[in-house]
Amino acid sequence: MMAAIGCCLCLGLCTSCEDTEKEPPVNAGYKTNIRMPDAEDLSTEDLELIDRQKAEYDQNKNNI
Amino acid sequence: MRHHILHVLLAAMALTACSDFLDIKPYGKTIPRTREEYKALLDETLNGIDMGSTGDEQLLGSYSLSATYEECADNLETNLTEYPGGNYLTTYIGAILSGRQSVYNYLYELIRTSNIILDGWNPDTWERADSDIVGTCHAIRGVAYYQLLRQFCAPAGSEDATLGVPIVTTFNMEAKPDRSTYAQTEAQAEADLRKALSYHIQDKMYRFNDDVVTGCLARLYHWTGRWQEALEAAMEVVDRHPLLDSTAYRAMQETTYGLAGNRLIMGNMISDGGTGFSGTQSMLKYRPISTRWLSLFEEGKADVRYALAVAKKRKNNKTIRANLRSAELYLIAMECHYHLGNTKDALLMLNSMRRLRCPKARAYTPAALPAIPDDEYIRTDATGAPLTPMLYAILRERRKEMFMENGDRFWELKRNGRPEFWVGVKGMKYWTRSFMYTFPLPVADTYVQPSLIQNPGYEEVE
Repeated sequence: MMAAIGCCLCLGLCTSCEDTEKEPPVNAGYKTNIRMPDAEDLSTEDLELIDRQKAEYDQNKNNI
Repeated sequence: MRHHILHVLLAAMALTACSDFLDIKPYGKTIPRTREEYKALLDETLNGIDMGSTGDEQLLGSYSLSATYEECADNLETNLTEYPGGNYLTTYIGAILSGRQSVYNYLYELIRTSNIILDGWNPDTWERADSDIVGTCHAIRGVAYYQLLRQFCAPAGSEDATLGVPIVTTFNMEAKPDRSTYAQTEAQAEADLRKALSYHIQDKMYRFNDDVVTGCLARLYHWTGRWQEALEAAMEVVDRHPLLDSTAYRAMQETTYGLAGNRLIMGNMISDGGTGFSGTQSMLKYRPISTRWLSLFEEGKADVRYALAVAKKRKNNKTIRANLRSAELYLIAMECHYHLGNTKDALLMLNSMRRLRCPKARAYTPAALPAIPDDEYIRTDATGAPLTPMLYAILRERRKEMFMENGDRFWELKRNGRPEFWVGVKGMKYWTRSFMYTFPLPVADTYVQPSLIQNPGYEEVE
């Protein structure tokens, strides 16, 4: 109670009190999501590699 | 005059109140004052580590974190992920990088807890047994700085390994230190772990006994390329906890929770009783094991690790976990011998381990080592030197041994050259770029403190 009265009375004199209650500006609309490079389209060569992996998998998956 | 006296009294009351308020700096929370309150604070943290709770799990890992990093590496074949079940699996490290900002905060929360307790530690009034509490706080802070070094700084042997992280060793909510040097962060982690060791933690509930702390030191030295010190620390523990034969190894690996076999410590050591673990484990079945990993086993199913891990249709069958066990330290020692030029000792250790995991395993000789395959992503070692067949054989053994544990392969990729590779997901190509192995500091912190240097590659925010 005394702390509350004290703080009210000294507002304007002691700005530290106000500072300790301040939220850092992270919730004030700042952007914090980091943007990653865009994904690329798979090339014909890439698709061929994946197809080969799939074919190899389908052929051998039951032999494990 | 009466007015003047009243004003002076009011001002005195006001300033006294402000002073007390600022001493506590509660931000809505209460700072502990008694020994019991400090102890309760640590107990809560240790419970969080044992349960793999969000935040606390960052110290030693959890099954969930191990799965995430395994999904970002190349032991599983992302290109063959089955959908829609595979929608819950991480595509590549870039997909979770922005979220790593919170990992930084979580680790500093663990440091903050340690700092509060260490600040309140009074050796004159606390009991002798309380040195376990103090030692544990140093251990937690040391491991937290090691994790920050590993995740938010460049790998030790690289040219860009100059920046460390801000060092905070006392509780001060207003402090905003800039990033230290790499060497300073490394020294802080080492000093804390050495200090923890000096307390010889006895009570089992505090987890960080001498073997655990020495093992953590071995990990730190290994990560930072201090081969001689890593070798000595690792062998000290291995001598007390030798490798298990294949029967005992199987029993340990089939035990999901607790310190079975020669596990020294575990993140997420206790089941939370929920379905989280079984859900994570079963999700991995939507992504087959890669042929790159399967082809590491010349002896196939005769190797207990292959037999334990590979189920029908190349699905993973090994229990995923986060732990520190003897075999990791054995592998660290093996690699240290190599970097120190003791290739004979490295080979001796390598062949011993191979025989324990597969009695039929043929012994390697300097002239008969496995060739480095073209599809191996690691081409340079932790020092930046080209990968040799001898070191490849050691890293290969580690890759087999540590499969589904700690997300080890991802960190091995980071430590050994940060190779770039791509995965195809739903018609799109996603690249793991070199910069992505070093995670971003929280963007919010760079707003509050513009002098805080962000890691390269994270300039664009949205």
